[in-house]
Formats: sequence, structure tokens, C-alpha cells
Amino acid sequence: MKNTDSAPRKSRSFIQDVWYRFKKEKLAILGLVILLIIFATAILGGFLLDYEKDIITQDIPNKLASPSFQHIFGTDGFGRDIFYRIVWGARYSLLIGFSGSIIGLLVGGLMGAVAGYMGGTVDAVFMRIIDMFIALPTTILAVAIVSVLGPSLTNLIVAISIANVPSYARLTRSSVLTIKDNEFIEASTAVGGNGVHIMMQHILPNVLATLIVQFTMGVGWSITTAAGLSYLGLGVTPPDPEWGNMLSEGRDVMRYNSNLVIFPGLFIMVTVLALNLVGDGIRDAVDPKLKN
Amino acid sequence: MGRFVLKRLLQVIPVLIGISIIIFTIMQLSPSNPARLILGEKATEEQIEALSAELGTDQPAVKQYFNYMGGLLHGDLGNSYRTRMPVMDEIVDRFPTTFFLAILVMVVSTAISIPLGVLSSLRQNSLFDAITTIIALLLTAMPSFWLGLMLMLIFAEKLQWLPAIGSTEFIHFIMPTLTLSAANIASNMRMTRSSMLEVIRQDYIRTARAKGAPEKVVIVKHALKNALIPVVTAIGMNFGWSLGGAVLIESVFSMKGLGTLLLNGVRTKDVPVVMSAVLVTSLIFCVVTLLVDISYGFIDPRIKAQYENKR
Repeated sequence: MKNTDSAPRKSRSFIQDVWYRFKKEKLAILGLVILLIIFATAILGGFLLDYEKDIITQDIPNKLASPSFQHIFGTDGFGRDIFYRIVWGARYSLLIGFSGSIIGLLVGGLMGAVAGYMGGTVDAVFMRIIDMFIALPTTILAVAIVSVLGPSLTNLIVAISIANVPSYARLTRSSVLTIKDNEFIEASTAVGGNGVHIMMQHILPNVLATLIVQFTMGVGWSITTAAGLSYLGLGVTPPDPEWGNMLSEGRDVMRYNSNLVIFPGLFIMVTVLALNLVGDGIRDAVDPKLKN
Repeated sequence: MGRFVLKRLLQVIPVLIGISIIIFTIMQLSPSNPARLILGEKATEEQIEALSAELGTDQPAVKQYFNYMGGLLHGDLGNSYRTRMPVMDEIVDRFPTTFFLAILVMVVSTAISIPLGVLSSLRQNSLFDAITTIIALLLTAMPSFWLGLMLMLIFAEKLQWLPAIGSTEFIHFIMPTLTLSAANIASNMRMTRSSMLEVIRQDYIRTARAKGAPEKVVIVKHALKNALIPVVTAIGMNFGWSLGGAVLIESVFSMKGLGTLLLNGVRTKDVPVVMSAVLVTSLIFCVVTLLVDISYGFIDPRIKAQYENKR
């Protein structure tokens, strides 16, 4: 978009330009590395662990064991290995976080773009609907949706996606509004470009940067909210090990063994921290003026 | 100014009606029958039909909605499906807990975040700045309910200084307040810092220093006052977030507030309870947003002038 950094040569594309600046952000690179490790753990865990044997089979005589070489984080109230369950749980958190945000981004982005571009009555109606959703705290909205659909992984993703829609819609709308009055849009209209063409070719690439930044931060929010809903028993249900429902189990046994309430939360925190660091890095790389 | 406030208050009405429609529709989409949920699996069809007729849930959804809203206009929030008691009593009973918690969170997080944000902006790139930045990053990434569990583990289970659950005495509010304040402190502190950094480079700050104003006056009166607008907006938004976040935190600390009322209502498909709890929460949120808008006028006379001109 804008070439504000003095160093990059003219031949670089926008993506290369962003990557060039992103590479220089040490914390963002750290975040990216952590995120890749978590992804690798989630994928490798699927190959190396056996769901029946390692994840859900109970071993009551061994319950609430302290950390040892055999069980590095100890065992839970049913004698299952906490570390293995956390590794297995990574797939749920990442799946919910990313898919909930992608669906929210697509639906919200489309709604916002149409409202912003069309203006008039469509925009007015749209803004009133968004106002309502904004006065309704998102956690409450998500709780209401999951409770209607029933607790399950798919329904949790649906709830998180719907709860994500208003913020993306509002952001896209305001970005589109600032762009659509530019001369290059007028030029495209003048040479006969239709609405869809202008939207896809000219407006979308220009609002993408803002949306990507919001997306990275949004994934962290989605992971935390999903864990919260699972904690309340409205998300992934036991015996499947989601980080949120592990914390809920941990709360009941924390007086005997605190590992089950410490480690899943630490993993949520590290994942969200990594996402936030990457998001900050992308934001600074996309628009260096924002850095501070 | 008075006209502006009145106009904004009137705008709240359609928003609340919209929210009531959204929540009512969501609740109606649920396949479960409230009467069956109350009577349990063993109840006969006749018993369920009789209870449905008593609760009014056998009527068409649109009629149920208008019945509820009609009652609302007369100050009647209906009776809970589960306890058969007036919802108003339950709300009046539980509202102070949630509201007091949200106010405590707002006071604590503002009192901590603004001074820290100002200090780290004045000492940009110092060790202090680095430490507060790292703490803010960690607090933002930490799920609030997990922080609550950690505080409970340390202060209730290990040290036994504070009670783990309850909401009847002031001491019960300490851990929930800290839990909900953490993320607010992080975001408000970062916001104050970046807003201050922008302001202290302005010409009028240099002018204030050049005319010999003491540093304290320059920072508090000239810089902070101008940097406050985005911070006040964030504080208002966070208040709404605290009301929503209370659902989880009240559940972690077993507090008897609106959040747990709502959660129980949602689980038993207690439509009047859910509708009332959501509407009260949203109404407070709308009022707080309005108060934030009005406070801009006091912080920035230019905005006040705009309000006055609009009349």
C-alpha cells in the first residue's frame, strides 16, 4: 500500500515489503516460532498418540500423580496423563480459534463491505443491527447460542463465528468507507467497472491489511472465549481434552493436585501471547506509523 | 447538552428492543421444552402439557414475545419458569453484586493503569517501560477465568488468606475484582501510554514548558487531559466487558450475581430470566456508553461546544 520505509527497494511487492519489516521485529518472530511449535505439537500429537490408549483410558490407581519421568505434568483425577491430554487438546483450541475467526472474517467482512459500499438504507439498517450486537456482550451472546445448539465442538465453532461477525463487519465497513471515495475507485467506475469488480479488485486488497491484523488478534480472543465456554460445560465435552474443560476438571481437584489447573491455562496463555505478538508485528509491518 | 442526552437516551430504546428480539429468537430456536426440563425425563405428557399451559409456553412464539414485552412496559419482568417467583425480585437481589463488582473493577483498573501508563510514557524505552510492557502482554494473553483459578489456588487453597467462593461480604470481592481488572489494566495502560506519547510531542506541551510551568502541571493539566479521550472510551467499553465477563468469573467464584443467574436461566431455558438479565445488562452498558460520551464534554471543551451547537 504505502511505501513509508526508506530501505525497501521499489521492486518489492506489498507482501515482500511487509515480510521485510516483520522480520526485523524480534518479538514478532518469537511469537511466530512459538506458534509454529504449537502447531507442530498438535499435528505430531495426532500421529504419535493413540486417542483410546493415551488420551481417554482411565487408570484410577494412578490418579492425581505428581510429575515424574513417566508423566511429566502428572496425571488427572482419572489417572490420565495431563501432558498428553494438553497436546491432544491443542488441536481443538487451534481448530476453534482459527475456523471461528475465518468464518467470522468472511461473513462479517462481506456484510461490512456490502454495507459500506452500498451506503443508504442498506448501510443504515446494517448499522442498527450492529449497534444491537455491540450492546450485547459477546460472551453472553456465545453462551446463549451454544446453549441453544447444545454443547459440541461444531456448535462451539458456530457460536464463536457468530460472536466474531459484528467486529469484523464494523471494521470492514469503516475501512471501505474511507477507501471508496478515493480517486482510483472513481476512475474504475468511470471506465465501466461494476460493483463486484471494484469490490474485489480495488477495495478488498486495500482493506485486507487491517483485517489481517484484526484476524490475528481475533484468533486469540476466540481461543480464550472457547476455553471459557468449555469451562462452563458449554463447549467440547469430556472425555475429549479441551484446555477449557481440563481447567474445569482441575478446579474440582486443585486442592489435591494443582497441575491440572496450572498447565492447560499456561498453554492457552502462551498460544494467545504468541498470536498477539505476531499480530503486533504484522500491524507494525503493515503500517509502521502505528508503531509505539 | 440536555437535548443531546435526551436524544441519546431515546436511541437506546430501539437497541434494547432489537436485543430482546435477538435473545428471544435464540431461546425459541432451542429444541428443548422448558416444562420437560423442569419436570424431568419421567414426567408424563399430560403433566408437561399442563405445566406448558400454566407457563404460557404452549402459545405461539410471537404471542409469548408480546406478552413478555407488554409486561415489561408495566414494570413486570414475568415469573421464572423454574422457581415461579417474580424475576424482578431475583434481579433486584442479584444486581448489586454484579454492579458492585463492575464498579470495583473500573475503579481499581483505572487507578492502577493510568498512573502506570503515564509513567511508562514519560520513561519511554527505560527498564520500567520494558517491565510494564511485558506485564501488559502477559495479562492480555491470560484467560481471565484461569487467572481467577490461579488466585484461588494461591490465596484460598495454599495461603488460606481469602475465601474461595461467595459474594456476601467485601472480602469475597477481592479475587474476582483482581481477576477482571487484570486485562483492563493491561489494555488501559497501553492505551494511556501510546496516547500520552502522541500528546507530549505536541507544540503546546513545549510551550507550556517554555513558559515555565512546573513539570507536574505540564503532565497532568496539559498532557494527560488531552490524552484521556481514547482512555475514557476504553474504560467505558471495558465496563461493558466486565458485565459480560462476569458470567464466567461469577461462575468461577460461585457468586450470586446476574451472570450466574443468566447462566442458570440459559441452561433451564428460563426465558423470562434470560431476557430480563440480558436486557438489564445491555441497558447498563448503553447508559455507561452514554455517560462516557457526556464525559468527553467535560474533558474536552471543544466537544462540549459541538454538543451545544447541535441543539
